[in-house]
Amino acid sequence: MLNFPPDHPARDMQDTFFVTSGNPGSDVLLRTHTSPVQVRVMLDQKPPIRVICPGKVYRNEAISSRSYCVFHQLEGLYIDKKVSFADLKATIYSFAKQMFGTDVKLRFRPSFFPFTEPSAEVDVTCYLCGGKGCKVCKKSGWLEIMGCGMVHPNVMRNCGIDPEEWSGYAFGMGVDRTVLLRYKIDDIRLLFENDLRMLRQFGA
Amino acid sequence: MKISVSWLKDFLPSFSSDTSSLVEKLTFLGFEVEEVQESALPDDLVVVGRIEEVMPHPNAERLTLCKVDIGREAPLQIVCGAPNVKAGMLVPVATEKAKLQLPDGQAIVIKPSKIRGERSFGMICASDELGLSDDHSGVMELDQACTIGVPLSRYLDGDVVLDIAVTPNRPDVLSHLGVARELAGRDRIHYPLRQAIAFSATAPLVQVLDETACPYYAGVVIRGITVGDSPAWLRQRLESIGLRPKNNIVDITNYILHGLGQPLHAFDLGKLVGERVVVRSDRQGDFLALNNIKYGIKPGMATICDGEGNVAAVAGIMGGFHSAVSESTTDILLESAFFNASSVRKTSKELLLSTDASYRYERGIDAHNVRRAAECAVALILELAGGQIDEAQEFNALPDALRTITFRPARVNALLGTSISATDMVEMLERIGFSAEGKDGESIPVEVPSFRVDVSGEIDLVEEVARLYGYDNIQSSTQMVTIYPESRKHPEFFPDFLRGIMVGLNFREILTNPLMKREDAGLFSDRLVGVLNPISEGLEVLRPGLVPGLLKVVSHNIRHGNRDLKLFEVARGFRSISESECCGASPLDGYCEQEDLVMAMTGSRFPRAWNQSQEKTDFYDLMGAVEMLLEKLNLLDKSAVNIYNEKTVSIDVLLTAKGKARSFRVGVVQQVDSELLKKFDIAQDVYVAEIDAAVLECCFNPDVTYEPPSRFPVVLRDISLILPQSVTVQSLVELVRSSDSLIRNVSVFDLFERASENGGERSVALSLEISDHSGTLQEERISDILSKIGSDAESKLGAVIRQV
Ligand SMILES: [Zn+2]
Repeated sequence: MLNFPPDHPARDMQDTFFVTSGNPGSDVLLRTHTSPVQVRVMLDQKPPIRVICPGKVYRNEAISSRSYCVFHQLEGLYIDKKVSFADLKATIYSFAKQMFGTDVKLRFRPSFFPFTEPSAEVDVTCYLCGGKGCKVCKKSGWLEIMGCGMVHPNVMRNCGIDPEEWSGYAFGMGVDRTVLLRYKIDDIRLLFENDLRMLRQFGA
Repeated sequence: MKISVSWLKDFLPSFSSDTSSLVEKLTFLGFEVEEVQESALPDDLVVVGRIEEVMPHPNAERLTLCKVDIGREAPLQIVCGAPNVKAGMLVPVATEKAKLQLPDGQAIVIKPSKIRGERSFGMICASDELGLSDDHSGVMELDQACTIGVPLSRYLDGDVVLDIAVTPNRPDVLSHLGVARELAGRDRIHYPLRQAIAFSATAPLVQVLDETACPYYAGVVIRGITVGDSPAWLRQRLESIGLRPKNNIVDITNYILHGLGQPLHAFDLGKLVGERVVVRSDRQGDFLALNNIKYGIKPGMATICDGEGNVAAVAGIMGGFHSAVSESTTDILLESAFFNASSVRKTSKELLLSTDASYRYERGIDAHNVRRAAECAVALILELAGGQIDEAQEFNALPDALRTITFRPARVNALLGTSISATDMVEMLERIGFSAEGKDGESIPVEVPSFRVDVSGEIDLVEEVARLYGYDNIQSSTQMVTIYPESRKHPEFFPDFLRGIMVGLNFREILTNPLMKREDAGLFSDRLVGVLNPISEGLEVLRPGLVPGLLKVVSHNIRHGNRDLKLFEVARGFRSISESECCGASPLDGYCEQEDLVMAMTGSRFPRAWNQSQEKTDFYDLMGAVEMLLEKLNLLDKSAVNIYNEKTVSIDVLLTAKGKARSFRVGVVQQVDSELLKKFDIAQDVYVAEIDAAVLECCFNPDVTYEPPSRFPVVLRDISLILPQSVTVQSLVELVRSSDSLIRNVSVFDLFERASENGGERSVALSLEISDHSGTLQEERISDILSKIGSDAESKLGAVIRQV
């Protein structure tokens, strides 16, 4: 559905948790992406489609100040007639301006995701050094905030949508990571510690 | 993947770029640069010196006194500890005031000193002490052509090494050649020298039995080679990207792998029985690989065997220990082959063995590069190790023709939101190796270069155009097409609706890890869902519900001085269930996944202040919060409270649909057992409510059916009854509510239990709202209603009226 060939190395990009199975012999895993939700929407609904899907995802990675084994993803999908990469850029810019302020600077870099093409990763100016380059941004001056791209025609075909008639974009971002950037929080584990001294500051 | 810029220049001699613009260029081509290493050249005070004389140190056995000529009037005396110093050697000498960064990170400045009583005026350096490699076996020996006294840096090229992240779709960029192709623009790529080889198609040297796994195999036998160290330039190339040189033959295969992207393997011909190779996938048994580890070969794994069927290599992954090139090798068989990507991937996964070679085969190599790589490698072997080509054979079942893809420039512009001309698109594609027949027209056929295994459809060319045009040059649209949904559910997302209510009730939202400790989870359920590959011991099961996480947060906060807490979380718990149990909400058999809302209250009821009394939060505070929640959802007057025991009550919602009444269990409110609290290190009372969010959502009806307020007064009456323990309060409320249509509302305002001779009873006080929309209620009618309730309660529930 998501245009992964069964033995494609991209599958290795996911560090998956498997759980004890209800039915012996079948692999049950904790999802590593919320993208399957989008596929379900594409299968269930006729275009035009405009959805946003938030959710928890799990990655089997060592816990550190920069990565946690569970976090939240927010994915969006928009399919309509004549949707272009330029529209995708406009949407992302509009989001970034509201999130990080109107003078935010972004850059779009080509990347690869099996379910979009062209694909991009979006960077925002590093909040710590303001773009000069520091340890956090690995001296690049930029921090990645999301992945996005035009929905791959194969994904659309798999969902019964004619890619000649319709086109669309999808994006996904880590909510937690964005929160860290937005509030300059230096340790993702703090988000799961639920210390009242932190919660109070967010009126949560 | 590490890329040395000076190696890159072998392919693009005229390439020049400062590091930061190169990094930016690669980034915008889609290759993230993860690290930049700029090898700093040694200080200019490190000069070429010639050792004139080596004398033993009078006071230290391991040290020597060297007289070193560095082009000054008199030679310097330097104390040296390296084993390899000898007279006549040219060496790097760090002179007075030279700054060095030692391999352990220490920065030093050279100054004259006394070592074990002997004066020393400098330092003869090993190459790691100059940051040139990690070699510390002895002092660095320089070429005799170097001029004495000249700074060493004149003889060195400063290099920049980039660590590039290559996405899995671009195996063609996993080499210096590949990166050079991306950067070439209009420049021509320079390939290393090649040795023309006359490949026969029939000699008995190479036999391929599994053509699917190995559609191409070139074998070249070279006899009479001398295995030894590689020359400095080759060692330096490999060291620059972090590889350790071994011997000239192995180094050449690595050089070609990282230079051209083609994995090669050299067998010691003498170790191959029959001096030939057979590619077959029917072998079984132990195989000792180059890394000195045994692997179990199974049928289906492609192997390279000798004439007797002994496995000499696992195809495309690793060679064997026994057939490896060693110092005594004189004849080799050089392999350059095309192995099937999924076959290599499958075997590599099964053997849990991944190598630089398998990494490239798995992703797909360039079919047209295989023979070229062999020819380049042979040229180098003949040059650096001597010997002569004895025989060469090629097996080839690869298709020759290149793929052609047609693209529509208008389609490209429509998808990108651009207006790039067809000519420009074609020119961009040609810069990275595609070739087009025409430059305009509605659809243009384009020939895909053999190395672009990822390009299979028009959309891939759309991406190539976007990439080369530059994502940043695509202008954001100013006006977007938007659609409006035909209808929207309200609330659109129930958990968020609940969160809003809870925040309004002054609870703080928490967010806990769904993975937790088995021991903690086991206190709440024995139907745990375990993680088969946990990261650590503390995170080995999924939470069965939200209470354990909630208690951990309570405990954490109390420990940090926050004793007064009102917390909630909306999230899912997971339990395993047997097949016969059905769980409506669960998408998978065998699991129950339940969305809950949990709340906890503990500590003082009010913040400490002059005008508040210091009262502890109690059970009814939490009950009150739950009721407020139910009220916000219009469910309070449909809900009933049942007492489980003195510390627990359950809440049910009673709904009537199509004349049928149904009761739904919404959740429980309880005071947490003190034994359980001890397990969480909590020493104060904690009250917890667990509400089933899915049940609440299904009971909640956002539609309001408006009923005009009655112009006539509402009569409030309290009634108090004694219920036997076996009868639920809910059934009483239900009975009262349905006893007369003028009863608008029933609520429990007092409730207590006491023991009695016949097993306990409950005293329940109800408050009734009675009103008639058509007229003022007469006292008579009211007492009729109350007496009917009394007699019904008595006859149906065995209740006794205490007071009306
Ligand atoms: Zn920074």
